[in-house]
Amino acid sequence: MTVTIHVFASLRERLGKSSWKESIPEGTDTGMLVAMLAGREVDVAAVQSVIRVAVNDQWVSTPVQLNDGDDVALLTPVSGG
Amino acid sequence: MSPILPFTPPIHVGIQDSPLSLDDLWHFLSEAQGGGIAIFGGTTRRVTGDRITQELSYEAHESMALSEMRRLAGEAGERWDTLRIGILHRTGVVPVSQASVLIGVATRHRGPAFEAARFLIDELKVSVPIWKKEHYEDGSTEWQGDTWVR
Repeated sequence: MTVTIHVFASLRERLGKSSWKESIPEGTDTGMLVAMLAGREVDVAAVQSVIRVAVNDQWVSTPVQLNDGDDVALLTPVSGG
Repeated sequence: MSPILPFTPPIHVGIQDSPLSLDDLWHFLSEAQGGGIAIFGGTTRRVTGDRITQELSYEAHESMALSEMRRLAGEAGERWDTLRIGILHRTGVVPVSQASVLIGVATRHRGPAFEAARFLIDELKVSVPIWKKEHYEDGSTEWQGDTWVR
C-alpha cells in the first residue's frame, strides 16, 4: 500500500523535501514506519525520540495501523504562537 | 420532548500569511453582544536573553493546524461559558512587534474570557502543528525547540 509522508520546518529543510510517497507492506503501523524511515534517513533518526506522528491530521500517541492512502506527518516539537 | 443541547459558540479559526486584523477579530467577537471580550496577541519579541531577533517566520501543517484550532476552540466552549471564540495564526515572516497569533473570546462575564483565552494559547503552543524560526540580527537562524545534535 502507499502512504504520503509529510514533514515540516527543520526536518523539511534537512531532508530537502516536504512530502513523498512510500510503498509499505500491509500491516505496517506508524511505529514501524518511523523506525523504517529512521533506518534509512539519518535526519529522521536524529529526531526519532522527539518526533510525534499524525495520521490524516489527527495526533496519534500509540502506534496505529496504516491504510492505503493515509497521510502521515512526522512532526518535530511544535512552536506556534 | 427534544433534549436541551449545550450551546456551541460560533468559532472562527484561520491561518494567513498576511498581517492579522485586530479589528476584524473584535468585530466578530462583539457580534456576540456579551459583557466581555478578551484578546491575547502573541508578538515577535526583540530581545531574548542575550540574543536580538530581527524577525520570526512561521510554517504550518495547515490542514491539521486548522482542525486542531477548531478542536481547542470547541473544548474551550465546553469548559467555559463562552459566546464566541476566534483563533488566528499568521505564517511567513512576522516582524518584531507584530502579532503571530490572536486569540479572542467573547463571554457574558469577564472571568471566563480570561480563563478561556489563557487555556487556548497554552494549548495552541503544545498541540497545533505550527513552527517558529528565529532570525537573529547576527544572521543566524534557528527553529525553536530543535534538538539536532550533529
